[in-house]
Amino acid sequence: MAVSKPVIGAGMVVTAVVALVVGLYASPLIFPTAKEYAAGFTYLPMPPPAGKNVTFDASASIPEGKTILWYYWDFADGSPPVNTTDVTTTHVFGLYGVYNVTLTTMDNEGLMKTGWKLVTVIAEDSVWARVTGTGKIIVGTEPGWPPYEYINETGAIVGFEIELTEMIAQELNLTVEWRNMGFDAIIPAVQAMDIDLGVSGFSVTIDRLEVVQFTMPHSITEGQVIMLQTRANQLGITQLTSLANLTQLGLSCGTQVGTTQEAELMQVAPGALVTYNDFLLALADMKRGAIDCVYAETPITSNWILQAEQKGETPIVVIYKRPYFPVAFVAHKDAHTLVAKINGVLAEKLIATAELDELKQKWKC
Amino acid sequence: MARHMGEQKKEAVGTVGRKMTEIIMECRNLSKIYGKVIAVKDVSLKIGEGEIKLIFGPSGSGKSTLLRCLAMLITPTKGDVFLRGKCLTKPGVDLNKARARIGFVFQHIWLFHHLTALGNVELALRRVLKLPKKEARERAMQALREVKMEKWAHHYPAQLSGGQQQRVGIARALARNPDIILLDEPTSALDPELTGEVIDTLRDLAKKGATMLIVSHEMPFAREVADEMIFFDEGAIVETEPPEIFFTNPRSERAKIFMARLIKRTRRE
Amino acid sequence: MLDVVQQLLLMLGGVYTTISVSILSFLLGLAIGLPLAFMRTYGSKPFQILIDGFEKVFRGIPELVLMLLFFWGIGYYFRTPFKNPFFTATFVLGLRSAANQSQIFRGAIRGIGEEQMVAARSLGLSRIRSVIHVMIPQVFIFSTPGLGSEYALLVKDSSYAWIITVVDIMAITDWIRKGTGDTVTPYLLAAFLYILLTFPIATWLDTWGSRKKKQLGL
Repeated sequence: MAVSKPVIGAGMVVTAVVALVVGLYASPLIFPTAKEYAAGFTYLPMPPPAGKNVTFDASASIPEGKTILWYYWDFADGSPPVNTTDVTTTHVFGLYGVYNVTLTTMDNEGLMKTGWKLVTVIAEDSVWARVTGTGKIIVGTEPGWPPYEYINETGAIVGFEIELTEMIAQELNLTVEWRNMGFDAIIPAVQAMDIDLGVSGFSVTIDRLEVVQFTMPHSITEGQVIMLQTRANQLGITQLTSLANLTQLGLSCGTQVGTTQEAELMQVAPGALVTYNDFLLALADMKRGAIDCVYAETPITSNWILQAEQKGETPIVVIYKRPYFPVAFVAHKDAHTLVAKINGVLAEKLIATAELDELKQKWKC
Repeated sequence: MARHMGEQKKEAVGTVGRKMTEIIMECRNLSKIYGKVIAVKDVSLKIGEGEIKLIFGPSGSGKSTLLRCLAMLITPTKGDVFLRGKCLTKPGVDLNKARARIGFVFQHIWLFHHLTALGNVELALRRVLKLPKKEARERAMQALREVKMEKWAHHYPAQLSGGQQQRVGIARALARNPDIILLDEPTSALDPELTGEVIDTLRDLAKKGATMLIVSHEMPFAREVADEMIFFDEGAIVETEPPEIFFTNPRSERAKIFMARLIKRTRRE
Repeated sequence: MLDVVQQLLLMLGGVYTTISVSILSFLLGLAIGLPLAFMRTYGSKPFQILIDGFEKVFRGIPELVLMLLFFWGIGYYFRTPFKNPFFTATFVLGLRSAANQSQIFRGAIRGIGEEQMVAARSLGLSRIRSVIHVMIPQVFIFSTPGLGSEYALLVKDSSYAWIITVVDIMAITDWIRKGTGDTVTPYLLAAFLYILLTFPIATWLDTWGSRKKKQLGL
């Protein structure tokens, strides 16, 4: 006798258990009793925007061979639940947020089922809706701010921000419709949704944040002290550590009245300050040698440096710089999708791949 | 011209019969006071249908003011004005409608500069009587024919002589077929050579039986045409007579003096 | 350097805006100024004082100040049409023109004389009809030279609109200067364009008006 009694016993138990389990599992196949089903539903559009009709479809809840007598929807947003015999129903969510929508069904055999889903309702982005609808994005700009956007020698409107915007639009399969307007008119136009985006060297400031939203910044402006290279060589200057150096070295520095640059110089290096009504006048004096340097900001200084190089004049160098504000594009406060899409392109395609840096090199900003 | 639309013409039968003709225009105790100056003092007069009366007197005596009060171009301070028996001076009267039935010819003519002669005459026909274009044009041309200015229909006033302008002015006043025509020294502003044509026109009108009240110094004309002459001085009527009396033997001292001066002047001319 | 022809072509878009502002404000000035002139001549005392006040305000304050006031003062804070810079510029210039044109027309009314009204009323024309059929035609003919210079003035003063962000000739000259560094040509061209826009019309109105006035003895 090779197999002992306990082993046979155990084997029998195991077989019985297995048979039971298999039987239980297979029984619905053999005995056509109530098939298990869940109350399920889908909804469109996805993601559903606030304030618009969302259609909920409970077809997934209908079991084979049965009918559903009623559907009971609870949208969990404070509105009264909906009891309907229709398989679809529409609902409008007032506010964006996450809602635990439940569906309860009763079939013709008296079986009640409940299902639920977390529905994320987003704030309505009508701007994005229009953009995708027309396939083009309307961008407002004032082409008077070289090298970001300006009219060049051939009469075309070009610039760093112009090219950047076109690149982003291409990635999003959109065409750009440019609208030239006064700088002060751009933010009101964005607020009124007359234009979708404002591209005009906008620094991100607190008062602007109160009325519009910004995309991810593409640059950070800097305050820069610039000097003719020849003069810098003469004085043996490469970099200043602070504005106070200006007084220490007995230098004269021109700037425009009423600017933050003027304020900084007044505070830190009043002896060096020479005021002008316009930056361009200061630049002219610097080129003439009447003053040693000019304190202004990008992209104005970038443009001067670029122009000097293009015209074969004495090169201009930056001997001091400090960061100011981030520069970005402006959009309507509710244009979440548009901004998200633009940011996506900026982050993935341009910053990560260093294409943005190349662009900045090209435009010297 | 004396035939009025829809109105019966009352016959003027001699001096006695005159009392039975309809009184076209009347004023009773009419006064016009400007501040301290009494321009018209308590004047009452009547003009019957077909009658021609002429007012004359020294300049500044208020004759023009009287005439304008009668035409309701100025509002009288006191007294009443009646047109065919209807009182014009009481409140609530549509003066525009009343003026539409009165024709006025001004000393300085005052044609509308921007319209041709025809346009001047047509204007009231179209805008006051509301006649259709064609009818207005025909009637206007007819009025111009009556004053013998039809050849100048498309000339502007600036292109016409004073006498021609005044004849157009008369046509303008006539065209609406008014009940009465008031003329304020129609020839006084014209050069002597030009007065003749205007006088001739007025004579024609008189022959056709128009009812007229004229302020004028044209004595020969007055003598020929007027049924009655009124001597006016210092805002009041001094004497009213048939013309012959004034030329032969005026009753009042002032009239005597005035006529004497006038005749001397005429003789000297 | 951007050549002259290219710059001119760029500025053409601004020319359209400049002409629009000029014509619309002229018409606004006409629509308001003409009735004002008559109200001032024939109206009651309180009316006259009101209109006089209006004229003093709009002729005494510089257009630029008024435009800025309406655009940045009212338009910025309140939901009004003044949020639109084109509307604000046209509105301000239109009111100033109304004040000017009211003066011009009043002079014409006086020049034509009360007699014309008396003659018109003697025919049975109501006050309104007398004004419409007798006074207004003559007022227009009489005023044509003055209106010609008023239009020229409006074209010139429309250049202020740039400061409240209207994209007119001046806005574009600014962009050209900033972009190309050409500080002279844009402004010379702008001057040329403005002369083109004012001179012919003003001269024509002047000569035609004088001729017509002579013909009619006005």
